[in-house]
Amino acid sequence: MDTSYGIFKYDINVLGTYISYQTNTSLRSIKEKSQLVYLDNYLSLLKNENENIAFVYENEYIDRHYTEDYSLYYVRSFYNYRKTCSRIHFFKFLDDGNISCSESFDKALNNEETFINSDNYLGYIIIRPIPQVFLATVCLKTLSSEKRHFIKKQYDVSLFGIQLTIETIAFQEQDQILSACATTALWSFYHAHPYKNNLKLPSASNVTKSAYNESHSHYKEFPNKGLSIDMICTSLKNNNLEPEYFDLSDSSSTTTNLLKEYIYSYTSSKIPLIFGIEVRDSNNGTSKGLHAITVLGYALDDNSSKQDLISHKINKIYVHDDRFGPYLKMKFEDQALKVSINKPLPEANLKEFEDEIYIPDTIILGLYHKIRIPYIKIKNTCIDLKNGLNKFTQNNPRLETINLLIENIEWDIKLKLNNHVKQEILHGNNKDKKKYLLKSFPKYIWSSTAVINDTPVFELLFDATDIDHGNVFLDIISFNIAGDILEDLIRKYTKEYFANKTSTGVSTSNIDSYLWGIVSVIQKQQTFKENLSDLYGYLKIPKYIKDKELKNNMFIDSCDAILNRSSNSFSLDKNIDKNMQYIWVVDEDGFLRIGKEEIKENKKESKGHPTLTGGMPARVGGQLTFDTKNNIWIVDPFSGRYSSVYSEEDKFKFTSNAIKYLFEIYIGDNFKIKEVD
Amino acid sequence: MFLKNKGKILKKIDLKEINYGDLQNEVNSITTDREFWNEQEIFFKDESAKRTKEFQKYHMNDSKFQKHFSL
Repeated sequence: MDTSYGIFKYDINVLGTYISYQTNTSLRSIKEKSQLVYLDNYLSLLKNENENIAFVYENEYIDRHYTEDYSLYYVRSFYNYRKTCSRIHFFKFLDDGNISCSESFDKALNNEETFINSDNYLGYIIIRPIPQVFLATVCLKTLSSEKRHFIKKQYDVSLFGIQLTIETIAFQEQDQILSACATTALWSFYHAHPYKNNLKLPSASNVTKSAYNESHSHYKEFPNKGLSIDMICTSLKNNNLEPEYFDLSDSSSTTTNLLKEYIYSYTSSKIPLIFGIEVRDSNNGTSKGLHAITVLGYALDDNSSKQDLISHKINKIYVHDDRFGPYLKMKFEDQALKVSINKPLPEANLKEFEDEIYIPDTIILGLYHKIRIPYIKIKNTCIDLKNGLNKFTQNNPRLETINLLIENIEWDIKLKLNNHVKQEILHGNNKDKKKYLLKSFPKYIWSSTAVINDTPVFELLFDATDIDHGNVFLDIISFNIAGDILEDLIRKYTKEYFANKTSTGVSTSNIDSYLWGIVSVIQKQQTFKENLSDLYGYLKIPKYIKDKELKNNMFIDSCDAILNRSSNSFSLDKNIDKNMQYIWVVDEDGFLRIGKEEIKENKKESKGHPTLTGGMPARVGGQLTFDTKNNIWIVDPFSGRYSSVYSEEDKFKFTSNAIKYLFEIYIGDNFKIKEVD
Repeated sequence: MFLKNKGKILKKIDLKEINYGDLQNEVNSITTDREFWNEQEIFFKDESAKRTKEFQKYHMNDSKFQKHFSL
């Protein structure tokens, strides 16, 4: 065609005619293609009733993937196949009968405001100039709904300089030469994978080539007749992903649940899955063959009864299936999956699709190599913990409520990135945010959230990068008072275990869960240093240093005693010179340091707390004065160097602890905290 | 617990109606003995063995590894 573009109101016949011209395929064949019927159906769902769709085609579009495929195969054909593609963009618009699509596009090219913008953009398709199998790329907007969970990425598009964006995952139809279903499933899988850069993705021919190694030398690569599980795994390996696969051909409700668990935990984490299925005729059960699809999302059944795992509530999944199109909805029906299309397939020879069911056969994961801990052991840990807590509280009428809380727990298990976990903490309702935000976590974290009546109560974090025999458990985060109680229960469980455990001869290290890892980490969690921080505040260097406190760049030493270490016989002088007063700090190791400072009218002249510590970090500090009237020492927490960062509440808490555990024990006089108005 | 729960009607609990003060006391009052923990260790060991055996059916054998996906 001698024009670079054309714009039309959407109509399947007009679109089909354009494709027919570009691909040398009859309109009838085009309209009978299941992918085109699906596309027509899908586009109708992307607009409201009062809206219409316009499509803009670019006659010459250079697609990198097609260019690679062309140079590898089509270029050497006798027939002169074109080396460029065409691209068709879809926009929705409010059709009041007065809108001229071509005028609108002219205005858009003049940078005037029209419906040709990202808000109305529904996506694009790239048409390769190959008869019958022309859908080189389909990038269409996802259907919006809170109930549907999809993996999607942002694709930036330039239409003659007009910048457009769309969130989706690219879909491709197999060309039956360079790719069969498994190749296109892998192609979409790489597009969706969070660890793959969209600019460096392999073309279909390169995906197929990456699936072959020396052991496959007896297979012909092209025309490709499909890939085996072995080949799919080889492609994953050659694309720097670690394959993991499961045989699901033994159909049972347990297998279906396992499938749902994998779909939920990985696609929630934006990691797609390759799903191998057997296509069967539902009327007579005959097998039509094995097929591969890419799983990209799910929907939960709101009316489902309580389950032990949220994932078991999945009733629909969304897949890129090259026999139909992107984000195809499939419903679980017993142990099978049924393709679900909103409108029936109208063409007579497509009716056979409506009688098909998909039987799960294989599930294949491709993970970043540092994700070492498998999902199944995290699930087992949650089951064991729930069982353990259940037994811990059952058969005691007084514990009926807490037992009921445990029984109502549903586990929500997902793989998360460190920064996602911290973002959730930062924006969430949990207390002690700072404690978790400042803590060092690994890059990949398994998260198991305990949910009761749709309310998250606490979250268990596991190190997905740990070694299999490590503790794996990282921490527990409570979200509310119910979570606090259950966290206390888990800590009590741990405490009781260590108080009572004996050598039973039963190894706790070889079980297929990390329950004893939780117990072990919680036991060790309260380290000496953490206890000291809880009691006397955290360590910090002095807020500032006065010149007076240094002599020859060395700190002057005003410390008279370090209690709990060397000077246990120390006593305070109640008749201390009126120009002097005691100052105190609790140091890094929890020792109480006491010394004297000269009282000066100009505070800048007096030496202070850093002269007790030699300028080293300490936790809390203040002054000591003797109240002769009441015969008691008054302790204040007002060290400007070490205490000023705390709230009044914390100052009171840390100083009270210092009085209780240090002053009263090591000095023996009467002490009280200074009352502040 | 997983399958056992299926046949059992579970009493629902309203998180807003719980007396958390009482609940905290309940938690603090729990005590166990060595026999309980011996049983726990044996129980989890047995559960683990059962699960490992059950999960083996999902492991791919060599013949299935060569299945072609070609529709």
